[in-house]
Amino acid sequence: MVEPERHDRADAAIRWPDGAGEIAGLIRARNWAATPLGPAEGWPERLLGTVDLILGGGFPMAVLWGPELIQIYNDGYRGLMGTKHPAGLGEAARECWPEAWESNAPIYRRVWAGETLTFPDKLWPVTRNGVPEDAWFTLSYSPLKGDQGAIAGILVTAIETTEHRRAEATLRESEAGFRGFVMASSDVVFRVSPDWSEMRALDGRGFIADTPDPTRDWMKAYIPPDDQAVVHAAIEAAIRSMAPFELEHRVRRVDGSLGWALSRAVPILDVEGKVTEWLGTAKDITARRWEDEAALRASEARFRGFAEASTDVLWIADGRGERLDYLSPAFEQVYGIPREVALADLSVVLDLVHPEDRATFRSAMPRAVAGETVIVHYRVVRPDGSVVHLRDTGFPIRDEAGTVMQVAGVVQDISDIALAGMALEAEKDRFRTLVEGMPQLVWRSSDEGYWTWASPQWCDYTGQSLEAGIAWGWMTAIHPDDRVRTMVAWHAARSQGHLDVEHRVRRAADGAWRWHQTRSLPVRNGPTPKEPQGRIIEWLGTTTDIQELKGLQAQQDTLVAELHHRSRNLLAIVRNLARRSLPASPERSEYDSRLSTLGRVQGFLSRAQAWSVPLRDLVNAELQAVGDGTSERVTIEGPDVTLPGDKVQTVALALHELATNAAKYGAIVQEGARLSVRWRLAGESGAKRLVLEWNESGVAMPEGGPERRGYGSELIERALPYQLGAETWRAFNADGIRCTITLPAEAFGLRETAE
Amino acid sequence: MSGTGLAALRGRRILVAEDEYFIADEIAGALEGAGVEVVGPAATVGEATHLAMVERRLDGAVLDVNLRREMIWPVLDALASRGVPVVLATGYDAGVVPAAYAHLPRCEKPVPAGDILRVLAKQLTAAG
Repeated sequence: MVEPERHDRADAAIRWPDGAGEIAGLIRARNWAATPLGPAEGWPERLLGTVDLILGGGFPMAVLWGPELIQIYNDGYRGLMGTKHPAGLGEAARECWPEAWESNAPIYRRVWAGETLTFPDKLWPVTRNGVPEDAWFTLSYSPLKGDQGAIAGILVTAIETTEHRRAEATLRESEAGFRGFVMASSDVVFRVSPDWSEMRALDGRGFIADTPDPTRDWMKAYIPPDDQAVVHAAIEAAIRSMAPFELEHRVRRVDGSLGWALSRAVPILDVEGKVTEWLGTAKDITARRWEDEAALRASEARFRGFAEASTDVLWIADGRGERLDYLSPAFEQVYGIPREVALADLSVVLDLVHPEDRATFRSAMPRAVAGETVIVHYRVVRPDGSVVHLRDTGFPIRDEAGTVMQVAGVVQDISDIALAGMALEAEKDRFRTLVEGMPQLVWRSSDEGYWTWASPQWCDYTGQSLEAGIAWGWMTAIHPDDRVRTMVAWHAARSQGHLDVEHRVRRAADGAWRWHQTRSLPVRNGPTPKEPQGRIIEWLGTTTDIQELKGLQAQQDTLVAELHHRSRNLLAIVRNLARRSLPASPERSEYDSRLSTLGRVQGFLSRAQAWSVPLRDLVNAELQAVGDGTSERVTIEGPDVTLPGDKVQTVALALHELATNAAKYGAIVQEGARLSVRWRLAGESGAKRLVLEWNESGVAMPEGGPERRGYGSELIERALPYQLGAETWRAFNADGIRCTITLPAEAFGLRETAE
Repeated sequence: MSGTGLAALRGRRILVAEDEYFIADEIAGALEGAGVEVVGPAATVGEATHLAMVERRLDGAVLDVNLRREMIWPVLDALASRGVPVVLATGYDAGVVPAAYAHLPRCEKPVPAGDILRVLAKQLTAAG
C-alpha cells in the first residue's frame, strides 16, 4: 500500500463500500470507530478487498476479522443470521453466538492455524421473509491473510443444500413406497402418467379388468359416468399438492357390475424431484360398502321405528328451514292437524301457535339454520280449541365439512310440567300467605345475617322498607347494646347449625325497644362426600316478641327470691322465739345450732342455679360452723357430686350432728385426733350409690359420751333411711366414731365435670 | 279438748303417710297415745297406695299431700273407693287440691298433732 492512496481513501471511505445492497448500506452507516476494527478508513487493504468480494458474491459469505472475529457478512448470509441481524454486523462472533461458541471455537482455532475446513449438509435453521425454517448448508471455513501476510481473519462460505436434500429424501420415500406396494399388496396395482391422463399399466387381480398396455381411455372403462367428476377432482387435488391420492369410489368390475374400490396412489419422483409417474393400488371394498349401506339402512329403519313410536314429535327440515322433509306421526296428536298439511306448507304450523308466542316460534328456525341448538317454549291452539304447552328443541345436522345440510328437532308436550309449575306457584302463594299471616317476623338470610328477604310484618313492625331491611339493614332496628351479641350469634350459627339470640327490636309504632327472640335454621341441599350434612343454601328465621314473657320471667325470679328471703326470715324469727321462750340451756344451744343448719341450707338453695348443692360445700359449711374446716387434722375428699334440693336438708342435719359431736367430744376438740370425711361412688358403673365415710381416729373416748340415743342418733339411724332410702352404719370404736352413710342413686347427682 | 272427743279413735286402724321422719313420728306417736293402731307410716306415694289397697281393715287416714315431690292423689282414689275417711295435712293452700277432693278436711302445716287427732275423730264419728 502507498501513502497517496490512503489520502484518497479517507474521502472515499464515506461512500465505501459502494453498491445498493442492504448490507452495503448498513456497513456504510455503521460507526466502526466503536468496534475493535476502528474506523473503516484505517482497515487493512486485505479486509477491504475481501468485504468488497463477499458483498458481490452469490453465495452466503462472511468475514470474521481480527482476534475478536468481528463479523461482516453479505446479503446472502443475512438469512443465516436470523434474528441476530442487524446487531450481528460488526459484532464479535463470540458475543453474537454465545450458544454456539463451544462448538465453533475449535473450528476457528484450527482455521487460524491455517487449515481450511468444510462441513457438508449442516442443519442451520434460518429465517426467510421473517419465517423460521430448517435449512441445510455445506459450510467452508478458510483463513484470510492480513496485509502483513499473517492470518488475520476467517472467510465463511455457505452453500445451501436444502433443496438437494429434500429431493433426495422424497426419492428415498417414493422408492420405498414403490417397493412396498409391489411386494406386499394383493390389491390392484396400477401406474399412471404424471398428469393421470394415461394409464400405463393395471393389474386387475380379478377384481377389475387388466390394462396391459398404456391407454388414455381408462376413466371411461373403469369409472361409472356419475362418479367421474368426483374422481377427477381428487386426482387434480393430488397433482396440485403432490400429496398421495386416496379415494373410495365405484368401479366397473370384471363381470360388468359395479363394485367399490379404495384407491391410493403416490407420485414417483426422479432425481431432480420431478414426478415421473403415479404408482397406485386399489382395494376391493365392495363387501364393506354394502355392509355400510345395509347398516345405514338399518340405522334409518331404527330411527323411523323410534320416531314413529315416540309420543314426541320429531321433525327434519331442509338446510334453509323453509320446508319440512320429515314429520313423525305424533305430530297429528300434538298439533291436531294432519302431517301432510304441515309437510306441504310449514306456515300452517305458525298459524296454530298462540299469538303471544309467535315471535318466539319464528325466531327459532333461523337460529338453528345458523348452527345453534335452540330450545323454545310455545303454546299451540289446536283446531278444537284445546291448548298444549310445547318445548321445541331444534338443532343443525351438518355434513363432514361442517355445512348445515338440514335442521332437525324434537317437540315435547310439556303441558303436565307447565301445569305442575303453575301448581308450584300456587304453593308458593300459599306459603307466602302463611308467612305473612303469622305473628312472628319472618326473614330469609345468607350466612352471617345477610338478609335477602323480610316479611311485611318485619317492615310494619320496624317501619323499615324491604330495601332498607335486607342485607345488614335490619341491624339498625336492633338495640345498639344488643348488636354485638347478635353478630356474635350469627358468627357461630354455621358451626352450631342454628341461630338463637335474644335482642331488643325497635317497634316503630311507639318507638319502644321490645325484647325479641330470634331463631333460625339453615336450609341445606343434598349431602356430598365433602359436606355430609349438605351445603347451607340459606337461613330461614323468625323473630318473636318475648317482651311479655321476659316480664313474667322477671316476676317469677322476684317471687322466688322473695320466698327464699321469707323462709330465712322465718327461721330467724323461730330462733328468736325460742330464745325468748326458753331459758338459756345446753338444749337451747343445740336447738339454736340446728336452726342455723337449716338457715345455711336455705342459703345454699337460694343461691343455687340448679336446685342442688355440692356435697363438698355442705361438709365444709358444717365443719366450719363448729370451728374446724381447715384444720390439718381434718381430711375432706371425694368426687364432685351434688345433692338435690329436697334431700339437702336431711343430709346437712346429719352432718351437723356428727360435726357437733366431734366438736364436743371427738376428733375436732381433741388435739392429736384425726377426722377424715371421704365419699366415693360405688356399685355398677360407679354411679349407683354414694358412700360417705365419717372416720374419727386417735380419739380418747370419754366416759358416758357421746350420747348413743338422742336426736342425732335417730336422725342418722332412722330419718336418713326413712326419708332418703339411705343405709347407715355407725360404730363407737375405742379411738373414735365411725359412720357410713350410703345414698341410693336418686338421692344424689353427678356434676358434668365429675366423669 | 275433751277426752271423749278422742275416744272415737280407740282401736281404729289409721293409715299415716308423711315423708318427713320426725313429723311422721310425731303424728304416729300421738295416734298411738290415743289407742290407734298405726298403719305405716308411709314415706312414698307408692308405699301409701300399696297399703291403701292391700290392708284389709282401714278406718281412716292422715295424709301429707306431697310425698317426696309426688302428689298423693292415687292414694286418695284408692281410699275413696273403699269409703275410708281422710284428713289431709298440707303446706299447700286449698287451690292445689283437685275439685273431687276439695271437700276433705285439711290441716294446714305447721299444725300440732293434737289438732289432727281431733279433726280425724270428728270424721270417724260422722262416718259412724
